[in-house]
Amino acid sequence: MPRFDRHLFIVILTATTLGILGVCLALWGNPENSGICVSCFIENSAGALGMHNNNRMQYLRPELIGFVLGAFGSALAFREFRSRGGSAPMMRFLSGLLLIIGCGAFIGCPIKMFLRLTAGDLTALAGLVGLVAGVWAGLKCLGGGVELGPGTCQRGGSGIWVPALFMLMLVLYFTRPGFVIFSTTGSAVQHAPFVISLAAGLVLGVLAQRTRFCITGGLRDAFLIGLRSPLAWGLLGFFVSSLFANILTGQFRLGLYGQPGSHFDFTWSFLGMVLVGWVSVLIGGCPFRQLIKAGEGDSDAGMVVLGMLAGGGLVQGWSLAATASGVPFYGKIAVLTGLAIVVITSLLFRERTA
Amino acid sequence: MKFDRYDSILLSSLVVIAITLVALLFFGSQQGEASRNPETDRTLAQAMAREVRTTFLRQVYAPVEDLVKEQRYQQALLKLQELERKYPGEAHGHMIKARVLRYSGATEEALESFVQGIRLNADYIEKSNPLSERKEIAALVEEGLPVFIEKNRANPDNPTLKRALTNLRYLQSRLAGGCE
Repeated sequence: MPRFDRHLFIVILTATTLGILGVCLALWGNPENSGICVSCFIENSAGALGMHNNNRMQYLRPELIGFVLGAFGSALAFREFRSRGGSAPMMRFLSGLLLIIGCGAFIGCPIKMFLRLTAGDLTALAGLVGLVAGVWAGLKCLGGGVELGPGTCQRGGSGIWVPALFMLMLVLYFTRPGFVIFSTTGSAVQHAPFVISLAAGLVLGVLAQRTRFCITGGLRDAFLIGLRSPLAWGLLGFFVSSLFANILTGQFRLGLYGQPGSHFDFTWSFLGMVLVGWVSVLIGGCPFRQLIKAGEGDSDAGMVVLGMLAGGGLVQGWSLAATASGVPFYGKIAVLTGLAIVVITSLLFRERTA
Repeated sequence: MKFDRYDSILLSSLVVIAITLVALLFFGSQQGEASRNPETDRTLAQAMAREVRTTFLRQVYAPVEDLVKEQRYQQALLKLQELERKYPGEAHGHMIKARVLRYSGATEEALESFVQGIRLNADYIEKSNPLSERKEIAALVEEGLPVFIEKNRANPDNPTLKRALTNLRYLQSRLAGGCE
């Protein structure tokens, strides 16, 4: 157990807030078990911006905007905003795309995986095992010398453009020009009131910026230093708080069958999350963490975010994402291709000692 | 940091561009230039397409619905076959066929047809859809699930029963919602 200091307290506070808001946002209108899901929100937002034509998945999710702008504001307020980047930009863009492909096969990002699990959805167990295996594989790669390279301080304020993009999304939400689409059917219609969604996103953005909270980071630290890591405790806090919130709000339904947004292609749920875990470790954080880092001025994470947006368009536009009937054929091909790309990357980016 | 003439020119340009932008947004929207153009307004286009589709389907399938109301199920199924040849891949026919099969007592086949329809177009499970079959599906799942669980327990090797249970589970999951 780490020393119970201010940092550990704020990590647990962040994790608990994430767990409670993740459950409550579903209660206030977001899709079932999807109070917070970075990949779903990215797919929704990509659709709203016209990057795919699935008319059931088009909505500019205010939570997503809140994550980035909350982190941006917090980084500015605490003088931590620094434009940095320049490490393997194309690889990072591709990594963002792969993250969404992996999440698409499972139906959800690592945060949603825990939300599904704590709502009693036992099908999410395959994803959990996959994510743990992916993080482990990523750690083995790091241990073997795989590194995308360090980012450096960047001139020209390159770090402001991703927060600016999300600010533009906020403007588009209000002005709603004709090229922005808001679904009138499907899961994108299900959303909590705008003010609540944005406020939840901003609060979580600030807290996550202060604590560096990350789902795969928590797992990685648990592998490396066990429960001495504050992030591992944070992960535990997230699990426990969302479990209690689900039970208290009557959203807990233990079972394999009839779970919202789930399927029985366990192998592909597993492999999808292996991809997410592995990529996340190589690029230094889960999809949520990438948004927060992008808000802090990290243009490497910004490239991942842009890749995720492109991935959101691709996964829906090419029907790669899983549904309750399972993972489509080309979704399986995409997951395997993604894993092949990660293996090739791990070979090519390996620092070999003579 | 020292500002020179070059900086002043750039900053002035920025101010001019910003003022022009704000003015364009303000006056453009007043003069209707920024108003919604039906050709580029995709939300409007989607809404219109949905309305047209609903009206079209109601018209095309009206004779079948009449036959269903008169409980002439065989004729309804024949008419549906004819329409399926004309509009292959249209989910609406599957949904009506599922209802007819259910009323005829062919529950396994009704389930199969509902699943085919929902896979083609998940809008039929939405409460807000004017063509929604949610109530029908929910009723079928509620009454069918305990029956088919029991039947599968008694006949674990029967592939038809296994298939029916899988279909019920699929519909149950779709009814539960989620983001997909």
